[in-house]
Amino acid sequence: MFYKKKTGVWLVWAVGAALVFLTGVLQPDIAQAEVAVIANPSVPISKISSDDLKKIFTGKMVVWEGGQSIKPATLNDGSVHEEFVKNYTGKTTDQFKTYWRRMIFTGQGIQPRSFSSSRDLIEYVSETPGAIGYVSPSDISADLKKLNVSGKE
Amino acid sequence: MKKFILLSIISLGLAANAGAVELSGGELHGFISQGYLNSSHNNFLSHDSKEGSFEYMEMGINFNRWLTPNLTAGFQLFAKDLGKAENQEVKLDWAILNYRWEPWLNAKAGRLKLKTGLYNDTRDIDMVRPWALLPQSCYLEYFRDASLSLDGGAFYGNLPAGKIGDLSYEVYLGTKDINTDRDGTMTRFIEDNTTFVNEDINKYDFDSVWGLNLEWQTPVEGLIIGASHTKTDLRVSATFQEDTFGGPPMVNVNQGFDPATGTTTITTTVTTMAVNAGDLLKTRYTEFDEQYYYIRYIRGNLELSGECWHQRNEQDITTWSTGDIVATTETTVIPAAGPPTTSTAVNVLANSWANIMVQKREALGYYVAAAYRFSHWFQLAGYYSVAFPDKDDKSGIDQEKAGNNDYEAWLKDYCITLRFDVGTNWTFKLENHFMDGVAYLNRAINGDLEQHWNLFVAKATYMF
Repeated sequence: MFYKKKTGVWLVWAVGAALVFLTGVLQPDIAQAEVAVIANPSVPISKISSDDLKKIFTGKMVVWEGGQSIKPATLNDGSVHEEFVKNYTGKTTDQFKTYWRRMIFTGQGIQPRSFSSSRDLIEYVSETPGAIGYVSPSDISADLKKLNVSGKE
Repeated sequence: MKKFILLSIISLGLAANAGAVELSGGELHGFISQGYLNSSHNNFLSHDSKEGSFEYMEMGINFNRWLTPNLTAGFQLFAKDLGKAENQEVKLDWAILNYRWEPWLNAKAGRLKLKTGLYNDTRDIDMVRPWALLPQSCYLEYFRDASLSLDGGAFYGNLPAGKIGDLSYEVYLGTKDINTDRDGTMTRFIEDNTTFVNEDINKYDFDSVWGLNLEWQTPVEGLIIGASHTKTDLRVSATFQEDTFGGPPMVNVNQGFDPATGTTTITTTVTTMAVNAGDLLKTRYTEFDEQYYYIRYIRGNLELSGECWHQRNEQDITTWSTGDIVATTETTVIPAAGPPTTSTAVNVLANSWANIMVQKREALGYYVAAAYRFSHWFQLAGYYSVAFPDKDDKSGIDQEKAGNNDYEAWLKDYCITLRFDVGTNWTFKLENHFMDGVAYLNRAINGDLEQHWNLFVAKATYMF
């Protein structure tokens, strides 16, 4: 009894139009944080391309040259995480989360270790052979290995 | 017992309110979804959705770990409930050995989720899509068993194509394992809606299933275009449960023309069949293939997508009947000159195999969808979905000829969804479907079917 065909049709079209409008006017505030990519000293490179970063953090590249396991590490949230995910995977943090849920629950991959603080992430990367992660440049100490990133402005 | 263990582990994850649980060098993840269905006029998915039904749930738990730097091994146990089907029986959902060699070439083997279309491999995973109920035009819940996975192997990878983007591929080959008892969603649906009464399916025999998925990540950021093709060789064996008259008379008309004599011959065969309990029915799908074509564009928080699904099948149905199969053949010969002549022959078969029907059918479905995420906790989404079980009868003329309503030829669905994400573990969805048509509705759980109806869906999911 409560079905109204025309109401439903107009509702869907109105929502569609509103979404298109909102794309233009409600772009989310993207934090402009700076990001530094760090790695364990055992990682056999000092420079990495943005393409390889994307492959690593989306689970498509799993070993370094020479066969060592890549152990990616991510932050749970925050502006550094948002900036890294947006710049190097082309996704929002919500899309990144959904991407990894798809991988996990279809048996296609094991997600990167995630950390709630830069300090914990740095500790993990420092102590874990093959590890790679990202933090704010201000969090980097002199003894950390920083990777230069090429191929991305 | 298995269900109890599964629930216990998920409860532990729930209590820990955590992300992955680390175990023996691997990771344990799980989820549980509880849904609610409430429909006006017609029952859908559940036998009592008109009264409101909570028999709509899924739960799963998986473990995955690295065995070597390139090799992972993992499995997922899964249980679901959908009306009177499935009943939370715990099954092995996937079990995969996955070897990653290079980004462009990887291999996996075991029970694999089939990557066809945008959502087939995740059709049970509520939190990875904007809506609770996938567009039924492309992901019909009743066919889930046949579409979801295969036992075999696959090669997959990502081929960089320079300025024109990247190309992902997945090729797979194997067989399938489908539940033949009435707990199986597909078996229940087929048995309830078959041409032949009292059919009890006792075996699905997949000779082979192979397929290919190609996905082009275009140079336009966020735009992907893809296509999937799956080819299946399938034989279904069934028995009749009771002594009965096996369905309506089947009519076959053939026309031939001999150019040498100018003679036209029209042969009309009407077959009626009486069967006894235990008589066999075998359906050989000589052609069974399906395709998905899809496109998705993501820009910021906006996601637009569209898919088209096409399935073609040709069934060759034979029976071993201990009752009488009566084939009455009327042959009319129209010579180039002179009056036509007609003759009739009656052939009665019993205790014999008989080919009783060759049926060709093409189904078509498509949808367009949009979703916008306003914040980390709120997303608004919707789609328009259209399904035609017979793509040559979109307006329902053939349905009317068969004495049915024309709106049994389609199912059109306007869906709108409110999605709420609470923390990192909880998702809630409220959704309404404004339906036109009754195609694919289970006749066995409905009386008279109404053309315009409504389906409300609510779903809560916890994952860790």
